[in-house]
Amino acid sequence: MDNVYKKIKAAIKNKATPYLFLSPTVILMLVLLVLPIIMVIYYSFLNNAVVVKEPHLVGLSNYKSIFSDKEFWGAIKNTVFFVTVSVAAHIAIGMGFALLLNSNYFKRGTKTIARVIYVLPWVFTASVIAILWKLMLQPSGIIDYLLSFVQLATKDTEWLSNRKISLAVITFVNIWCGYPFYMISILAGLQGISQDLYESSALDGATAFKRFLYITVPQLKPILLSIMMLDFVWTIQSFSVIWMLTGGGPVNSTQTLSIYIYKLAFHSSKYAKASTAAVFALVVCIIISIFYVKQQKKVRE
Amino acid sequence: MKMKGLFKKLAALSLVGVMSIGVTACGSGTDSSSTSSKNTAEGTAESTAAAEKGGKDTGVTIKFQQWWGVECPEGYVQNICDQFYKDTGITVELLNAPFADTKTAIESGAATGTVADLVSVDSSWVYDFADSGLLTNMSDLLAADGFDQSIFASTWDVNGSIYAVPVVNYAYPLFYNKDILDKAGVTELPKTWSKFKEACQKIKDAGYYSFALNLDASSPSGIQNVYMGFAWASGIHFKKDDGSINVAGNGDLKTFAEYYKELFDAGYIYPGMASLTEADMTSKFASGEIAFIVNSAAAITAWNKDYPDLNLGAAAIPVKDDYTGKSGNCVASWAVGITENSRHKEEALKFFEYLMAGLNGDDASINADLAVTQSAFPGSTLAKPDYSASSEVFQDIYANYNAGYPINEFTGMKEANTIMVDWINELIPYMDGDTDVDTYLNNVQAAIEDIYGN
Repeated sequence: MDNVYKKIKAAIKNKATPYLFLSPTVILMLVLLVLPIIMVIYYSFLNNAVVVKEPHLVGLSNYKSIFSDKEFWGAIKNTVFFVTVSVAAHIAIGMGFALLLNSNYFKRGTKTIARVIYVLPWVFTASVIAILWKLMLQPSGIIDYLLSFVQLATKDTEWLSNRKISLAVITFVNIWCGYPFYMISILAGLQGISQDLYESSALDGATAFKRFLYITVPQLKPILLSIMMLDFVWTIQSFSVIWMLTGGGPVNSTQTLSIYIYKLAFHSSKYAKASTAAVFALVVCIIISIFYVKQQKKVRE
Repeated sequence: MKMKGLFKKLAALSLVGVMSIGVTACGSGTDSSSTSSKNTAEGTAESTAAAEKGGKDTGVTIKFQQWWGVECPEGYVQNICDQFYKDTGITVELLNAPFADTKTAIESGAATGTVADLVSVDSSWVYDFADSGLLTNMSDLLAADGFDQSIFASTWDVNGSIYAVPVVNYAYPLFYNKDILDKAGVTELPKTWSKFKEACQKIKDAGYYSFALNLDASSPSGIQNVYMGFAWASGIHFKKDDGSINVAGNGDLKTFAEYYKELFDAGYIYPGMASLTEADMTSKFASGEIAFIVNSAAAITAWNKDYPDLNLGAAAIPVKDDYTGKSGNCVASWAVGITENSRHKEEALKFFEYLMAGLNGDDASINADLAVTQSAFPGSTLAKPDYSASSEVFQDIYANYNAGYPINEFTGMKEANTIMVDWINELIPYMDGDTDVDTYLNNVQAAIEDIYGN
């Protein structure tokens, strides 16, 4: 009888041990991730949250209100532009620099220096990036000064205050600070491609462009897809640089979804509506994450 | 081997235990009467020492959420709290946060049931805080306590009741750079709109920027302090006497809007106003790029310290050429309200009264000293601040302040921040020439009415 009891105890112990090891992470994820998400989803069905005495359920009223808000759709439009252009430019510039650094045209020392310089924008924090670009882009700033030599700007050209170009300008700043991630990831991928493939294709008379198209791109595909999806999610959530450069203005011209949510919550104290917009962003990010996980699974297989 | 396995399991169990306790501690509510911790440990130690010197400890601790501790000289606000403890035996725990974070701190405190007993509020938050039940009705508390409310220079009322009271007020005068004015040949300070335009032209001709208007959307204070500050000086208001909104079809506001557009079209306003923050504006003024700005008198201390070469002057905001009445002076305030959920409202009120009129309601020396220290004006009419040691610039501001009357029509408005952002969003297209003045004013009226649900 004692033996049976001991065996059961040992079996329970064996089964429980991995869960005990997992439990710190699980508890942290529950408290810091799952619980806030559930709260935000719950808030989205209330008349308001945080600042009301007795919040009550209002069904889908907040969703109807958000989806009929012109400002929300303006923010979506700006976000789509900001994200798609940023991701496309990141991949093009990242690929270009990675190919350059992987080529044999430069000496090792030159490549090392270039690598350090190219990676710099990624090292800066959002506040440094915002201050740096704000100083450069302000009227009479260095950008105006340099462009005035080639007659592309005057000394008082407004880059961040002009509603027609402000979104393009903040997208440019976001591209500048985000491409090194692609460059490093692609460079790592390039260095893992077997040289035999290039040599045999050269023997078959393939041009450099064809080698790029039929060897480099397919070999890099898993990495490219993964970083694109990650970048997509990060760029959708991008807030600090935009907020510090323009605050979503002028006249909402740079108001992305994250700025819209922040202003609803912290300018207007409409926490329920802000939660509703946040749930929308969450759904978009979850869809992309599902693709990302599937992609990762494929890579592992 | 077995021992090693056992050790690992024990370590894992201990880790889980410690983390669970930590998580529970994070989630649990705090009692406002509990012993203070956080950044006030030092202050509490001082308070305890004070109690030992003769004060009788009531065992009550009230929390005061504010940005004053960040902006006042180090230890200044804590010293007031320590003195209050000596006098009353009530401990005041200061919860310091920069102004930009204070609103969020108050709201998140309200959500988790840990909001401070006493909170410093901005004029743009007071309606929303009162409406949501975060702030308590101070009229009732003051009446019950029999406190003389006539000593308040101003109060912030919602639906006829006091919800916050300004402790000190900051004026927003017209600052000027004397060196730029000298170089531009502006020998006399402009007192009217037309003279101001003439001065701006001279400054522009001398190669400087004349004036600045900050319309950055992240902190929409420019529409209040600079834009409407200019209008209020000429007695132009956007509210009727009964408090109703009077923007659309308001002839005075229309004339004023057209005047500002003339300034903009003539190139007198610093370019990039739509993304210009107040901080950008003041630094450009201090570095000698801009001749005139409207800004808080609180900036004088920082300018004197950081820009000792700045040849600073302050004047009254120019008024409409035919205006002969008193000028409204835009003010911003450090006001205090008591939270509804406070379990120590009586003690919180006592501390507020202490700030305004001392222990017995007849000594406003604390209020006066706070005003002098912060280049501000007292919120208590009992206070007799001694500005004799203050700079000449501040003396001028004080004279102008006394000649006019304090005003801020945005105070107590519902979602005041959103109203200001909406106003900016209508003003920019008008200044850019994309809409006409009537459309601009109509849209502002519609935006405000939309917020009030009319």
